[in-house]
Amino acid sequence: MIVLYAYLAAGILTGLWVIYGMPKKEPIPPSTILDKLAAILVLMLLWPVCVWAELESRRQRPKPVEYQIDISHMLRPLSISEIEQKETPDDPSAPALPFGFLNPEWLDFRKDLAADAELWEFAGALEDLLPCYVEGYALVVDNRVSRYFTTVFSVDAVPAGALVTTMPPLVEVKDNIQQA
Amino acid sequence: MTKQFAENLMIDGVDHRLNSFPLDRWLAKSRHAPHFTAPHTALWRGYRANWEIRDQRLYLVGITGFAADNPTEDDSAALGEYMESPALHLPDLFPEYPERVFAHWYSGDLCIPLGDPALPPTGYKMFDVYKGVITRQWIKENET
Repeated sequence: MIVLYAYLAAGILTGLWVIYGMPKKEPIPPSTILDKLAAILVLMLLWPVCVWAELESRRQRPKPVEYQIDISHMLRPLSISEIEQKETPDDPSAPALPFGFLNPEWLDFRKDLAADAELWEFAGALEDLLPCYVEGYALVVDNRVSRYFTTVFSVDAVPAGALVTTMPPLVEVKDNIQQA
Repeated sequence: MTKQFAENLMIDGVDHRLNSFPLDRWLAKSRHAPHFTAPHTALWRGYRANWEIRDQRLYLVGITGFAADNPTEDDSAALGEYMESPALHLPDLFPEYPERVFAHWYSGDLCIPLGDPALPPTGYKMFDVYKGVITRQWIKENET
């Protein structure tokens, strides 16, 4: 008997949570007190189904992407002209412009930056959907990364010649982000 | 699952199957890149590219891609019943570089499976690429 009471009490609590506590994805029309009582009555009996549906919904929800360039990945400040000189391909099979075939994207990135603006070169391992290694240039404002332009994005491993030679384990990366 | 067409990588005049997709990075980054669509189930990425390593650099030397935008009846007729999208080639993607394109946007590895193509690879010939330049090469043994 105690088990039955506990089951029904859990149902009432679930019903109250569904009606009053659960975040609503969209507005629901006003309901009468009878509607709410009917809902609680149904949930008193069938609350495990409701709990299962909510848990299943949360399980299938995509995990938030943790791909985030952080101040801890910054290596050194560079002027825009230094970056543009460094990133101009020296090959006749690519435009002799900063970032070559990606010059329009670079111009978009820097269009509202002052000519003497300072960007930070960054490199490091991150967690996107997969572990990845990234390099690029970031605008840092008030000790925070405001925006960035990625030049290397490798999910394979850290390629030889990269600015950082080892891919740190993801645990360490997360620790760095928390410390920053 | 249908086996997918590999990319092609030429080294010293010899063609190899390539299990890496250096073009994807450019497709993801460039706002001028086309959107490709699968012409059939063996090419879900919608394109097949030819690459070459020359003087320790990676070049895109050819591509056949199937554009997702604006297919025309003429293209469909020319390409056959399975190919309902217009085919794009290197000059369509890089008009000023119709012969070869330096893949400076790519950093990562190039993976060439070794052995009989009909059998599981016995190993892989690997290249590290950093901003389009080959920085390392080695053989990776198949661990299975």
